[in-house]
Amino acid sequence: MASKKDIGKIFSEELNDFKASPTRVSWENIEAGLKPKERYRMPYWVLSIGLISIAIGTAIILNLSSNPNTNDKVTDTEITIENCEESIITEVPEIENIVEQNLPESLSESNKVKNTTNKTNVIIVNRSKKANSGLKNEKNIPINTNPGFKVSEKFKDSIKTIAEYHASNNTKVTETKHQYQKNVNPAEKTKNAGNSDPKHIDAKQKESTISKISNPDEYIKDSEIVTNDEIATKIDTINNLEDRIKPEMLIAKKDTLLVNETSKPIDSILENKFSPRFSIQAHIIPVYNIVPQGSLIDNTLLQNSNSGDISLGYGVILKSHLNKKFYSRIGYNQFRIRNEVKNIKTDSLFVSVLGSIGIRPNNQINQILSNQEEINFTQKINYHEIAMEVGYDIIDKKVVTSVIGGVSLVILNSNTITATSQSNTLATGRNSKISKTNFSINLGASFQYKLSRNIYFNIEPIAKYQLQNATNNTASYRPFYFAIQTGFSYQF
Amino acid sequence: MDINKLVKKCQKNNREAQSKLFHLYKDVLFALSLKYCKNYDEAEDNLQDAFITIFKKIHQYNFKGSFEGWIKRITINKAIDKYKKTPFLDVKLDENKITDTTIDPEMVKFSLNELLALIQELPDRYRLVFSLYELDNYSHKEIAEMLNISEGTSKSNLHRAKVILKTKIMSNTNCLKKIAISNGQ
Repeated sequence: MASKKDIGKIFSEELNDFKASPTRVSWENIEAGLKPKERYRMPYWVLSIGLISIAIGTAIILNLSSNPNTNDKVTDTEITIENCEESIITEVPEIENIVEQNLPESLSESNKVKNTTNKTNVIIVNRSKKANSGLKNEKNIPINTNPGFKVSEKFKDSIKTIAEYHASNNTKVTETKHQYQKNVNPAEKTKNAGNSDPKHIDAKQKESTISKISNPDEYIKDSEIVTNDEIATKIDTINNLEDRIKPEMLIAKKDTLLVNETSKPIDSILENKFSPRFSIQAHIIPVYNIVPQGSLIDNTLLQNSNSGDISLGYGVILKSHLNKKFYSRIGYNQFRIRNEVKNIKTDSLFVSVLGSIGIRPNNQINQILSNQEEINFTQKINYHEIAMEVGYDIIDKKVVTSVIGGVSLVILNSNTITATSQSNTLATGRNSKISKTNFSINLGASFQYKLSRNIYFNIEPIAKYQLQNATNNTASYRPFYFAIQTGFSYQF
Repeated sequence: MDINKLVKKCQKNNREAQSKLFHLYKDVLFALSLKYCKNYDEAEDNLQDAFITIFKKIHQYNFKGSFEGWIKRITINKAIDKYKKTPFLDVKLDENKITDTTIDPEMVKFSLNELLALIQELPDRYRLVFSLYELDNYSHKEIAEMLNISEGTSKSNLHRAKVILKTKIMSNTNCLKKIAISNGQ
């Protein structure tokens, strides 16, 4: 009897040169599993478009946010005789309104038109209604009116601009003292001389003011012409007046105008007032994929039942109003479209389909194949989306309703195809045929319900149609899906 | 062909080189898989997974040490990963009866497939420890690290594996003897 050996050593010696060949594993199977997860690199042109869009969007928003609210702008210009002489009209960017109604009679008298043989200046006295912030915003604009002098077109344009500017804001009352005095009846004139209460302005005076605003040429003609000597006197008077005019008086005047003014143009101007605004919106996106005849997976599945499904996405939108009705917006969404291909027969073609989506046969799949069970594919395609859209407010009530249209750049994020039998999930593969980028046109509506001063609840049903086939197989189709962007927005 | 050149081509994702490498090592690695897996099918699955991992990680091979050793280690790790996930059910043994794990080599008259079947029938942990220690010469320390167990557990599992194998061999031998006696041999 041979000497005993450790059982481990016996096994080791016996199995030392053991070799066996696999029957099921082939290089083709390995190769199928090796198909690289093609890491998608975004083309430069796509990146460029995205960056440019973001830059434009940012620029619009920044521009609108920094757009001067003319009501708040106060130009502090200390007036001296010297700068009255030296200033030229083009150096004055804006001319503020005049509150001549508050000027005393003494100043009114000094502003009467005088013809002189020497150098004369036209002076337009400006005073902002925002004088409660300091009342230093008066400007003198001297214009040479020597013989042969003509009011330049540029100056007329400036006056027009000023007039439009004041009209559009409708927060300031413009009147030269001279014009005001013309329109005030003698009794009122006397009264006003001693009492600067703006409530004493009557409707006729204001209508006259409006007519002057709308007719700048007349306005220029009627502007007072004073001599240099008088300028100093006027300025002194104005400076003294500053101390007498209290901010409350000016505010009261505005209120009086708003309450008593019956002029329709003013009302309509008020209604059409546009204040720049932009908002940011965050939302979730239930997406329903509307699937036409075709297959994004394989041509052999063309005849199988293919149905869309609902899936969820999310996104953000930056919106800025271009005017009172129109707005543009740029958004980023990440969403998924989902469809299910049902009742796929497990024949030899099916094996090739499995290979094409990178699913390797395993025991479970072999079992399904041998039993010839039918299986289903669930396809999920995730996209990044950069949406550039414009909208038009059609109803601006409690629920702001608008129509939206635009285009989107969609960039493939990932995709999966899950094979399931009647009871089990068999395996997950991916579709390598899906286009990495695509464009879609978007059309829909937006409903904004105002929750508070700045916060809105939004529901935006939008249909999106991709402009190119989603995959490169012949049975492919252009995805069409319906998204309901639901979320909240904050308006700045 | 120089294996290093082949590996370098595989590192460049050359499909032809990968195919050659596969055919060169598939039998070795399949035999290895059979020692660690429960059955033929699982061994084939393990082989496929191992090759995919090998080709995906081949750029990490730095030509220090044996390439064959490197791919064997990947194959073994694949098998270990598979069974580490499943809970291990310990087997109750009457170890008092059998403490000696030596056996007369004459009694082990089995074919290679039968020997392999005996190993495959071992409980997962015992099979892994037995194969690692006895067939691939890993130390108990290495095994403990690989299986995330203590060295003592590794030794205990190895002993139990041997006891089970000896029991099975002896019972089969007795069975064969009985058959021979009954046949009048």
